Amino acid sequence: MTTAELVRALRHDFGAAIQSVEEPVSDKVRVAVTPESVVAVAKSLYRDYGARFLITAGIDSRKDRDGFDVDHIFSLDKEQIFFIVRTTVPSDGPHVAAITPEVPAAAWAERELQDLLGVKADGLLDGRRLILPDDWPEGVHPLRKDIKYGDWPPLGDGTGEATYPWKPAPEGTSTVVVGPFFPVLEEPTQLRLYVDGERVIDCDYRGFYNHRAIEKMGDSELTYNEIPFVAERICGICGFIHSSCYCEAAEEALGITAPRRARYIRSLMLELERIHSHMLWTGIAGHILGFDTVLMQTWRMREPLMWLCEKISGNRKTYGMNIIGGVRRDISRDLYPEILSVVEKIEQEWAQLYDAVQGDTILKARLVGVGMLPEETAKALAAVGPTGRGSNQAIDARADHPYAAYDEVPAKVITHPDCDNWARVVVRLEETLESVRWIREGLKEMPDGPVMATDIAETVPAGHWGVCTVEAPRGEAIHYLVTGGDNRPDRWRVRAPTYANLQALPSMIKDETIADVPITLGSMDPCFSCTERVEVVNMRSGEAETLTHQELLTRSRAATERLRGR
Amino acid sequence: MVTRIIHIVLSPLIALVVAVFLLGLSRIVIARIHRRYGPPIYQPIIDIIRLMNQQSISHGTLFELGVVLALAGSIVTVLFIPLGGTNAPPGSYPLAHGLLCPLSSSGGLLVVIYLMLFGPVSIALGAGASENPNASIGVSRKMLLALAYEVPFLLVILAIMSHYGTISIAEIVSRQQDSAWGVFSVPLSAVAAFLILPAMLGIRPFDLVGAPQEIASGPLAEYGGRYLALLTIQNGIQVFVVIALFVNLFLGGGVNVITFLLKVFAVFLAAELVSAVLPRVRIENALRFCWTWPTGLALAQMIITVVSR
Repeated sequence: MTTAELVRALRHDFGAAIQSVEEPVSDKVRVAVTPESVVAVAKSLYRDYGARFLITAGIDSRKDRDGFDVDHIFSLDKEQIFFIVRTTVPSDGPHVAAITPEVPAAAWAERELQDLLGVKADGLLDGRRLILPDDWPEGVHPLRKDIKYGDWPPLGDGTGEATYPWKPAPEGTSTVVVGPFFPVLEEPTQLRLYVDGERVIDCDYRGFYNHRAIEKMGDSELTYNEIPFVAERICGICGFIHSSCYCEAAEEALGITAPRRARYIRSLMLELERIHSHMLWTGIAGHILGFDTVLMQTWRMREPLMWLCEKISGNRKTYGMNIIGGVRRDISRDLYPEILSVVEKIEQEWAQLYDAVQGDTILKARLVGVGMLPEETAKALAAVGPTGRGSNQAIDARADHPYAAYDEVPAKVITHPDCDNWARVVVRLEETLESVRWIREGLKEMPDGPVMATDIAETVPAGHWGVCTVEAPRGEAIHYLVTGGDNRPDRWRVRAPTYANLQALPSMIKDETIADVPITLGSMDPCFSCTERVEVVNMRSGEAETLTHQELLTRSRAATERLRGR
Repeated sequence: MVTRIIHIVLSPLIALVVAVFLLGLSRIVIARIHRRYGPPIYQPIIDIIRLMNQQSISHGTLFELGVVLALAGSIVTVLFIPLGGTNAPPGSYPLAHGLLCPLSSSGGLLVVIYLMLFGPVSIALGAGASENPNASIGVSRKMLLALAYEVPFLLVILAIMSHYGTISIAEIVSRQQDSAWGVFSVPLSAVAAFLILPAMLGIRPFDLVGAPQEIASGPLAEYGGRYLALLTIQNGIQVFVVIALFVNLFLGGGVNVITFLLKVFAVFLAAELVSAVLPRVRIENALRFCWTWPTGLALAQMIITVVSR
């Protein structure tokens, strides 16, 4: 089905509800629909045309058309189409009908819309806060344009007693709190397990403890060319995918074509990143199962790859190579043999590890049949990456929406039908080998030539848009960019893969034992972010003084003021 | 009498020194398998000194009592276990000089079986008082694990008692020194005991009681400072006791303290090597494992022993 046929079919079904259709680049469509019909259109896309929900982007467009745009982004994977359903709601007491009851994967996206844009989603079963802190005042929505980046809401009432409305524990269960800091979760996130003995009956989740307001920074502080470097810092493990994804989306919005060689270099770095990330994950998974020998050995194997990346880019991680229009560093042909020898050494050692893992009966006992994510659930909750592929969902952005050099050198999509933790392990182990194969092919095919586009216009028109997905080691990342004035985007929407996968966690750990919760959570390779809380101890007097939330907030605000030089 | 008093002091002292040494050795062995350097062998001593000086938060009398009882229980157990030497008449072993076992004449194996449960129960008591959900899950796992290995362990003990016709460990040791070691005369029991050794030591694949990644160190979750230091020592002594018992029952003890300790190190190394290449299992897997292979082997040996008598 082409985009034209799809639009015709929707026009036939919904008539005048389809207000306008834009298709600036082939296979990327944005249709505007009336607020009344948004649920019906979304439902039809999801049910009748097999579209997969990606994310919702809310845009504060009050200065242009006195309203908020709500863009639901869908993907038709087989047809390689991005389909955006836009509806504009009036700015006075904005609210929109929630699509979550029909499209379950949208649950978090719509809660986020309520939090950050203040557009109420009517009909949400769970409308609790997702991102804003518990003591954040009502009615302050940070992504609105009238809030400046760095504005602070007034401090709360000072009692520090604001609490999250946790789900009540079911009858006959006790509550085990995992996090915000927990040995196996090196990043802040909180999981409340309602357990009966060791069996998990239900759970509740609270995260986003360290929301960094990167999207806000993107549309109010940074310029187009600065964003790739901030985007790369979204993640400390797979940052390059974010800068690649942003650059590809921006190039599309601005009508720039990156040279072939630059796109091959992007793919090459992305595959190197995938290998190191999967090796890192395998080690962590071993550690979670108390198998530290695996952790030490995989990280030892991984080290030469980090050195190689340092040789190519100047950094072990956070390569800083992407820029709109190409890459900033070329890779010398003299390095090709070294790249090959490093990855082929890994391939050889990895094959041995793969065999050892396959034959380990205790590992199998821990992983097989644990953390089940049935195919239907994976589809309904739009799980991505190895989490989705382990449940037989053939979703891989490299094949579904080829970017960088994957149109010329395709990557094989690896799936596994078992839907358990074991399947997710096997998918990752095989993907590592597949990435080595890609690098071998890619280096052979890599053309010579420039690495930067030269025909870049001086000014950027407002109102253009681009959308791109990039397959991160954990799943696909999505960047959606709407250009604005002032040399910066009007809206830059990012969705990291863990955002989609975490929503599947409650169904994966239900009825499992506590012993299996860490590895099940680990099996999706979650990526949160890092922060710390402080206790001050006066060593001389031995007196401990615990800072309250309020005092911490006051102190950190004072420190930020100092840094800003205000 | 004086010798006896010296022995009563000497026995736990040896146990303490060796226990701390074993903890350090364990870290080095595991580091070598990981291809790391690992900490110096005296690292546990540094840790214990540091913990002793740290702030210790208590959750009440029961919480503290648990630590004291566990440590006391482990130390008392040592007194019942021969740590090398022999009862044989002077002259038959030139380097031997009497049995180092202050309480060899009272109770023997039966007392040791009871005393070995003292540690887990005391820790359960203390950790329970902290009311930390992770601790209570850890305690329930500890009790289940004890249940898992006690079944084959008791069968092993029964086979040995019926083979040697005595409950005195000293007697069993000297019988082995006269004829064949237990590992040859009751081989299936020895295999069964080696299989449950990791569970009794609380090391991988059966380190699920304190699994840090799952339940934040379980029973130890609330223990810090000097309580944790004492429990570290207790754990070390418990490890020593279990291995010393294994050496006495299956490897003929030692004709003097040196050969005895060499055997202890050998068994400990073997157990650590197995442990380093295995992941952690779930409690149900641990129960299933302990009640199949080790129980089956121990039962078979017991039947063979009883029938052949």
